[in-house]
Amino acid sequence: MPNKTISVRIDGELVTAQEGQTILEAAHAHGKQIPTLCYLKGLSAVGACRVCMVELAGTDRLLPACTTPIQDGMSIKTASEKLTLYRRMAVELLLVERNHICSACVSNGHCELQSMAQSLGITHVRYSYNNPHLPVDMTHPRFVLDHNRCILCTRCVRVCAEVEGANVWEVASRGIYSRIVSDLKDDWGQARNCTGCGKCIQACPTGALAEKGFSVMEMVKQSDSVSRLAAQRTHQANGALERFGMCLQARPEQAPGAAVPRPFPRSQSSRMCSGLVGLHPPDRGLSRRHRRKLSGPLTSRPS
Amino acid sequence: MPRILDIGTFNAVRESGLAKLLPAIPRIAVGMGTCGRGNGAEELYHALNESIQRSGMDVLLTGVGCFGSCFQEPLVSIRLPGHPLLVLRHVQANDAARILESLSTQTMPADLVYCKIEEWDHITGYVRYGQGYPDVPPWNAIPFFKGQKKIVLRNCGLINPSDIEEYIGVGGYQALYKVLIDGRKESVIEQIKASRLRGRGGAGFLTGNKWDFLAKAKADIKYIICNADEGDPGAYMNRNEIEGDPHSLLEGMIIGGYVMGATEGIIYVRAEYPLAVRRLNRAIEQAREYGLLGTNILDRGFNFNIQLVQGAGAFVCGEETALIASLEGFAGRPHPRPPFPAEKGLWGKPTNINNVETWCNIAPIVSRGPAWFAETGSVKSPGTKVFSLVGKIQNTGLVEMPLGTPLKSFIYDIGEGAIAGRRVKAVQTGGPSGGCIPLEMLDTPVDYESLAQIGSIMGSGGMVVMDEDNCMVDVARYFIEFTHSESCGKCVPCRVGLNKALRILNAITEGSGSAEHLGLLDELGRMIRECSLCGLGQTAPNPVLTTIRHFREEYEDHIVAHRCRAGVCQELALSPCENSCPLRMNIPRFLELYQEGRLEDAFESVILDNPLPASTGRVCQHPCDNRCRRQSFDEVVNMREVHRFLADAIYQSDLFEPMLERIRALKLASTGRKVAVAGSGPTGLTAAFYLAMLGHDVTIYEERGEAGGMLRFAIPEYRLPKSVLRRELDLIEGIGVKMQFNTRVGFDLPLNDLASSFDAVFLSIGTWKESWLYLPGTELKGVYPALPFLESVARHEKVAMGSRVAIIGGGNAAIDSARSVLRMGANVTILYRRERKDMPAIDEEIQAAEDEGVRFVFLAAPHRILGGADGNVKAIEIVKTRLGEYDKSGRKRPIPTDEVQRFECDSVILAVGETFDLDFCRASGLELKEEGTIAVDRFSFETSRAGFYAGGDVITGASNMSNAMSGGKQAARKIDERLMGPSLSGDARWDQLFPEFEYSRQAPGEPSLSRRHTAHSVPAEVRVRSQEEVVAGLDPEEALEECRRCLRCDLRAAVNTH
Repeated sequence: MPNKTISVRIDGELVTAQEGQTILEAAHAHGKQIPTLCYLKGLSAVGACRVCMVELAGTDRLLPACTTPIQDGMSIKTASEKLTLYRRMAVELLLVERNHICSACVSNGHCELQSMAQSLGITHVRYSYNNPHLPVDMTHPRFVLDHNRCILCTRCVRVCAEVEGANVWEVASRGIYSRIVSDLKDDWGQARNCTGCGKCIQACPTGALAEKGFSVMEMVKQSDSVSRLAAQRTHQANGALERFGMCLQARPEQAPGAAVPRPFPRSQSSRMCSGLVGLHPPDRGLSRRHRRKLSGPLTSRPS
Repeated sequence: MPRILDIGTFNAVRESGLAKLLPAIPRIAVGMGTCGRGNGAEELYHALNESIQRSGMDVLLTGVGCFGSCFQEPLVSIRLPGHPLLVLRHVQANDAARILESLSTQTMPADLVYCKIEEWDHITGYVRYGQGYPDVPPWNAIPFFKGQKKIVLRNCGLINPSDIEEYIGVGGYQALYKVLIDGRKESVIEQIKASRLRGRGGAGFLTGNKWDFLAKAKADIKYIICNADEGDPGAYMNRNEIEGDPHSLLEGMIIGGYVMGATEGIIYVRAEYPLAVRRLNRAIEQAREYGLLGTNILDRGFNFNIQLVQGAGAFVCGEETALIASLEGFAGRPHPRPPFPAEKGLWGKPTNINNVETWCNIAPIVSRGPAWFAETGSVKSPGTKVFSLVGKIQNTGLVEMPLGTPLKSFIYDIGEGAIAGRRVKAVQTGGPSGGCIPLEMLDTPVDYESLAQIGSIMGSGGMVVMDEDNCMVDVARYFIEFTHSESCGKCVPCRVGLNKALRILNAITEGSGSAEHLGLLDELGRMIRECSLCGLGQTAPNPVLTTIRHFREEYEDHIVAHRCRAGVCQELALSPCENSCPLRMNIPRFLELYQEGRLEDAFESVILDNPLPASTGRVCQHPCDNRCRRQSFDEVVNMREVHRFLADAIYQSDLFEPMLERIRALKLASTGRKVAVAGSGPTGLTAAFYLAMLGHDVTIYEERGEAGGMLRFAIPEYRLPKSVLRRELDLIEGIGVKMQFNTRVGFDLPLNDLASSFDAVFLSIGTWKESWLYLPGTELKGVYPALPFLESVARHEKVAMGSRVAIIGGGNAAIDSARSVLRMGANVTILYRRERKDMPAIDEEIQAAEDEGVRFVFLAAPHRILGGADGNVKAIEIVKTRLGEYDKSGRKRPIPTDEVQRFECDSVILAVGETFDLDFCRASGLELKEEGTIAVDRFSFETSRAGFYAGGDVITGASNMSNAMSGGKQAARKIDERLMGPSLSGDARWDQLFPEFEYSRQAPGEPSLSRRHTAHSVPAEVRVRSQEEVVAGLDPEEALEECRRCLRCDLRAAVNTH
């Protein structure tokens, strides 16, 4: 279905966009950068981090670029003093919410939160730290979930549900007590759905989800490839599913009370998706080389 | 069961319903809403039932919903055939027999009668109950109902909500019938559009447009949803609407379903509303039985089902996308819009969501037409809105008012103002998402735009009234705590931002707030408002933002002075009495010390908190009395009289000298700094006392020949004997304060001279100038301003008053003048333009004046003073006033009438307020404020000129003794801090002044009922003949008993909250 071409202004520049695109997609298509944290190309957008807020001429309201469909004639401003302030505040709030101690983090130097803070010029935070006591889930044989570093972007939730089809992750509780949980709040190691594909690790913008066996600064993630894969998967899966009258991104249509049909039987989904990903061996090798380069003789890692 | 298929069966049901409302036998209806049940309606119902059975009378007993006046529950309405409906209030189970008896005698128990209803417009129908009961006021003559227009609540409290026939009897389901017969769906939507009905859930979106979206959406199945997830603290409109009239909601939804092409309706109601759920279920069941719901409704081939879903009580599920997520079985977290539910809602299908009240408005609009609907309310917001009026107000309940009614009508007309003796401070509209509107803005019309303009929202209709006892910081904190715990956690601003805001507010209410906090809070509030994903976050900061905007001073008090004026923030107060005392006296401590038999320690505790304990013990307006927690048990502890007793016990005995030695010993080492104090009134004396104790060299300059200011020259001898004041002055001089008399600062001694010879100058010169009333005849001989008159009396000067004296005013100066004149043997009449309860004078003083024979004429404004040929006063003419609307002081404004009265008199005293004469200050470079007071920093007491400080009446305007002293006390502390710099040892110099007392911290046992000991007064007929002190004070035994009555609120149980 060819989309209609519409014309919009982004930061004063008259550009064309496709109807159905979000503001973010339209901006990206024209090389305009809007900062994002919870957005990951290929996954559904949720508008959780509020870092991508933009101004729309003619209204006082700010709009999240990742979820707002662009409309003909819109004039969008992607940067202003107010937007910078609010983006900084959002990142500041994330920094104080949990225990983001970069110097002790596997993702130090490769962390989206950290680089976002740097690019926004955040040198300190003005709010007191919450310093919550949060657990670290080490029960999975290969991966680790450190709640201290989680920013609740839910990329892991979405990549697992929308790409892997395993639905391991969900958000439990609410408000400040929200936590990422696997299965029914089981230990990750006990999560029956988990295929061990590692997509959540790669999708995670911080060191909250990491592979075991890495030390400070060693965890380099490949969110680009997850992105590519996600976009591809969505496309392919939709093509495949259309035959069944289903679509991955939209919720299944059904009557109230009926059971939600799963897009795939569990075993099938994991096989299909994991086969396509093939992330582990090459990436892991790359990371190890990277680690040696970075840490040199000073690190003595327990084998 | 009659399934309604045609107009014939419909009318038959209607007749049968009407017959139940207007039976040929007496009908008794008990208000059985949740509010009624909470007040004992169920027991009452059973008692009535039993009595009816026992008596064998033929009476129809039934239950109805709430009629709105929740403060009068349980309500009972009684109708005898042919008579009006009589509403009884506060009926209890033991009144049942009485009521039944009255049915036969036809005389209703007068103490229970509230109002009568002769006829009622049910909007969809009209009911005439009958005429009669000439002595009983009609319902709409009762202030609470006057001005209300019941459209949504048209049936509430009148029909049995569990009986569909009664609903049909008053014209219910007729609108549905009409719509189905007509079959023109678009025209109904056009009607709703033309009525400009706006969503009553709070956002105010045009309902007609919303309906149009869904009607035009193309899908195989569409849903309509009723949002009854009412979760605001203090709001219960939807609950009572459903409990009182569930069919009104169903009818609106069925009409909506038909015209929008939906076949499924869902009511999402809180599980916390069990009665509403029960009545709704019953209503749905009945509607099905009668063929008004289900398949082939009214035989028109239209199928529509309504399903009831109970929400688990998450506030965020009131947000429509979260509500849909919850219905689908997911966690109640909102989604970004667009897509809007009208495109993609429940199960991905087009969905329309409206609030209960919006649905309840549909049937009236359909049956009476949009033009009728738009007659009510304002142009942009037509119709009415139901509000739950709660909080610190006389009349609470459900109020349905036309939109655009000014807020003050709600507070003062419907609510009849604050609870006795209090003043309304603010109104919170819209629950936790709304804002606090200050008293000054009560003229604001209540509609969507006007409320949004001042930072609040209409919300679903909560209206919480607050008075001086509410701390606005705590209010903001409470609401943020609520939204914080209800935030779903999806987006960062709401999840973390509210958490940070709550932590900052907690810090402020605990006294650890900092100056940056206010800025941070404000910025955070704006960010959360603008960046949050859904309505919860977007409105959650409103309480903070509005309180910062309108009550910034309270925030500053908490942060800078660690003071919570309302006494709500526990960490900032020792006990309620301590917090209420302008001098922050540690009252429980001296009560305990005296109880332990330690008179000297008790006195020391008192004098260090309050350097004039004997004088304040006599003339203080004792705010502590209003705060004592004992008042909820028996009577308040007489704290003022105890410290008067302690002071008298020391001053009138040989304990004085040793005591003076003890206090001298507490003085800090001499600092070598010199401080001048201008004025020796309560403010100046207090400042001088503390400055001297802090080791400074203090000199007081006094214009008159004696110290004491108003205490010496305005308060009469019979209230405050000058010998008592002398002792207090002895003590202050005893600790080294020097006094320079007959020196008027600014005149005899220019400010510049003071500046050169002192390190700091404190101005506390009081309000000695009498405000003049511009009135014909004030130039006559025999017209005296009150203060100079009182001063002459205090100086024992002869003033020719004649035998009849009129006094204009209602303050303490008026009462003091009146009682002084009385002691000169004349007759006195006080003329006051408002009512007695509005008089600013201390109540005991007014009482005492009345006892002594002072005449009062209220609602009397002076018109002119008439003189004789000799130039002497002959008479005064007054204009009678009537009380009009409430003004900004929270009292009713006196409005002159045509009635003029004349009082013969020989002299007139004007006691209409005091003012100042501070021009010399301006000349010396001190800034004055518009109202003529000296401009100072609120916390440091510094004037615009370095080294000059001011306190007391010169900065606040005329006040009272303890407030004035409080100014002196705080200023002394600040002057010392400025002179000495920050303490290096970390132990503040100020704190060093106050020794620790060891005393029992054992909580008293269970209290037993006991009377408050009041001071003994000399009988009125004896005391008017002399200048002797009127009130004799407590004796030692009584004082001890008063001490024992203290509940020791200063003790806190150590509870580990972690």
